[in-house]
Amino acid sequence: MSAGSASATALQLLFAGVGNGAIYALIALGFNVIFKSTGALNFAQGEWVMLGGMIAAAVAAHADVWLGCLVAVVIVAAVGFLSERLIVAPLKRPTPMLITLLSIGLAISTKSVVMLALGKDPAGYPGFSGDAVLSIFGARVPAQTLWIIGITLAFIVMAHAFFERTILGKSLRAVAADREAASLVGINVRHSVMWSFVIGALAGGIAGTIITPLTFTSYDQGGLIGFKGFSAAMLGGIGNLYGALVGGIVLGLLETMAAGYISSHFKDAVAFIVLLTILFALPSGLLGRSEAERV
Amino acid sequence: MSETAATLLEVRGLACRFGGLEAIADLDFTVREGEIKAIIGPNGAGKTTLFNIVSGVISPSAGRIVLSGDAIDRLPAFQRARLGISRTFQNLQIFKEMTVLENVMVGCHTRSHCGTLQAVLRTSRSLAEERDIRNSSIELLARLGLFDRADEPASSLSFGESKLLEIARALAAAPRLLLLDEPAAGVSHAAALRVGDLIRELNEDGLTVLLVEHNMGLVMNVSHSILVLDHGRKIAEGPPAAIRSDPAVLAAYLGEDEDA
Amino acid sequence: MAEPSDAVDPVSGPITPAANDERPGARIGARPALFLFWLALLAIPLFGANDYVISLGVSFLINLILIASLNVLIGYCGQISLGHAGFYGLGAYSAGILSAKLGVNPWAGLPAACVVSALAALVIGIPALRLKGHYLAMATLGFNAILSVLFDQLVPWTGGPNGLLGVKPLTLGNFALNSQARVFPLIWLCAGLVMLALLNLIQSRIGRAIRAIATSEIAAGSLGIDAFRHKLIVFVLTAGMAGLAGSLYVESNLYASPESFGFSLSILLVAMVALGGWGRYAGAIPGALIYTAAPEVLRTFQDAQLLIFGAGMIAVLLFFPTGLAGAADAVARIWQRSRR
Repeated sequence: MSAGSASATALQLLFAGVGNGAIYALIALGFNVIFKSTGALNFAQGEWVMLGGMIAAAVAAHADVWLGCLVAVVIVAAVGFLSERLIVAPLKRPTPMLITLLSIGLAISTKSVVMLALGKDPAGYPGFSGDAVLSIFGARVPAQTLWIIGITLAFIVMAHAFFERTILGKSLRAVAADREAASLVGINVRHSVMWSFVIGALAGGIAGTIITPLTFTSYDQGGLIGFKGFSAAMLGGIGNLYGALVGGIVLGLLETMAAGYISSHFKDAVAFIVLLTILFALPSGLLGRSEAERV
Repeated sequence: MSETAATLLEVRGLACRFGGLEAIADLDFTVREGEIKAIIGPNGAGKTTLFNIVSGVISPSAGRIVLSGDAIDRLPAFQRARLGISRTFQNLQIFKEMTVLENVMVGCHTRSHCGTLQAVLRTSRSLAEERDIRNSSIELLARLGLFDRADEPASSLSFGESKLLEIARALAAAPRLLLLDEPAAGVSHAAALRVGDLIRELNEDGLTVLLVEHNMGLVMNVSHSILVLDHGRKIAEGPPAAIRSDPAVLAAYLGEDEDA
Repeated sequence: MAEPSDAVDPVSGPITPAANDERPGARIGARPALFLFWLALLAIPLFGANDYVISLGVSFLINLILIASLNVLIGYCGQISLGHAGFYGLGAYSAGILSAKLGVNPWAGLPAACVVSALAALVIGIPALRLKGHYLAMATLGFNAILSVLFDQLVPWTGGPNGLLGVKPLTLGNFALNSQARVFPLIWLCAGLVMLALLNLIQSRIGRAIRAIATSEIAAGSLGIDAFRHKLIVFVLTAGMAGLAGSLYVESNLYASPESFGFSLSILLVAMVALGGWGRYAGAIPGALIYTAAPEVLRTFQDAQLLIFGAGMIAVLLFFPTGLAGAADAVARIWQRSRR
């Protein structure tokens, strides 16, 4: 924490919170896209984030950081595609519960493959502007944080355009709204599920590549960040794409404020307390309709 | 069944909306003790919805349901079952992973009492109760002609046998009111006749039956009273002879061949 | 024989349990088989060469308690919990803290652990069990994660990341159960009681009600079964058993650390239940065997262990939903048929 005034501190926490929140928003978006098309909770989402960071680090050790990130994002998207082919496509009856369970197996497998291939050591690389830190009204803000916020916003805008303007995007929304009706009008539902996995992995991979300069990553970091992203998704309202943004930012801010003003030890617990509170008190989240359904 | 039999089930002002669709509107009827009442009507008339409301699977938007003088419309399904309502399902809900016998034994749940502690400790009382459950379940299977299939997985039964199994399971709870949802749908003519005989037998033993059916032969043969629904509203109610010649009923069915 | 497509009921959602072979009159009575197997386990300390093998036996028995109880919750009751390791840890720390920090007789730790875990399950279960299937998974996972943070951060009580030290061993008069061989009989007895209790439960009227709920809650409700209450009972009971396992763990190791009870373990336990065979009583045994033996067998390929678990879980869910126990059963059936 800087030795500046209280407002500088607050501003610093604000930037940090929004920066983290942007990451959670991206992960939440990935969760939502897959949830909307399959009804399942994708436990591998966090591993895809980790995978993005790890691959980028591996490539960036020998080449430019931008290239590393690009390669990582492409590979993670491909992994998303392959994951769908492996755990969803073969199923005769792809029920949400079964896909959720399979994603657990997938998460375990992905984590271990990374461990075997890339080792257990933490990995990282410099940010897009090196390790530059800016001073904004007295608050120390890493340049990478601004990159994170910018890239996330760009992604959200592109996602919005994709779902509103393109045929593929609209067909994904149709499948999400009503599978049967969508297939009746000729939309290939299985195809849409495949694309939702690619998009989910893409979001996760991008999140991983842009956060790693700030936090470093290692093979076992996937689980925690995945669940934080899920908490953000639930907070915003599972399945609601704009809820992902809202939920992510709110969670990021809550976390950073709690760490800054209360204690950094319990930082990780914030996400889980939020999750439980939402599940028990407001399952539909801040923006969503009730999907969690009380029995 | 005497003309002055008490009212077992009373439905008043029942309504049910799904979004903009009125599945049931302003419905009143009663079922007297010892009666066999059939609910008929063209497809989409709201018959299964009515069953789901009475048994507690879905909540009505308005109206009262009274069982022997007690209002039950706020009670969850499992409590209504404990008060004596049993049912079968149009889309079979047999427990496929259990044996035929076990399916019926589950039906005895309300009549038995041993709890978790006694189950875990395997007390002599729980064992004795288990024997009783098993024996009465075997008896029911025998009565419904499924005795030979007792130890087989329920998934191995034919469609007609599965329907009988659901009835056996519903009877295991010793209900006062049995709701049969299309018991003769999709079965052979001979089987439908047997179902009719079964219903009459059960009724002679004192069971009140409310049934939804499309098989007009069965309905006319077996029912004491018929309720006709169309688009969620009652369009006629009375004994079979009266319904058979009711012009409103004929109009509602015009063009449909209902004799399965 | 169950096919992959038969493993899941699209209407009710949760994994439906595989066929139960434990009804009265089944081929090999489960009860005698259990007694025989349990007697055979005594061979480990009696003829076991060294403390190392015995300690494997102790681990196996503790893991068996965890996996068998989770199997009843997931396989028979259809409720996916990703918090089982949390209840395990809660039991371990309750028993450990009573002994190490409060100087209470370690024997009190065993029932105390059960009670603490069961109460925690009651508190979390009442809201959580009203949620639909996969949300329960997330809620229990969140609960586990919060517990991990507490184990890690409440340093005066739990010892923090360095672990809880100073746990006193159980004693019978002057005889201290402070070696693996000495503590084995107690753990053997407790695990045996747990297995017996679970068998009694699934063979009872309550067991049938639970299986009915997992297949069709609507049908179960129409037969007078209060689904919520039964789910809660199973959730609390199995959590209590996990708590007991925790107290046995802490008394046999005289130590506990937070990393043993994280949600990664909860996830692995679910994988083991799947590998052994959902909803098959005997499935917990191969599940526990694999989990205990794998680190030893894979000594040189230690790092591949996780991959084998993950890939194994996927393979089982896709192709062998009845798990290893089901495969063994199928082999036994084929063998029996060929002998006729």
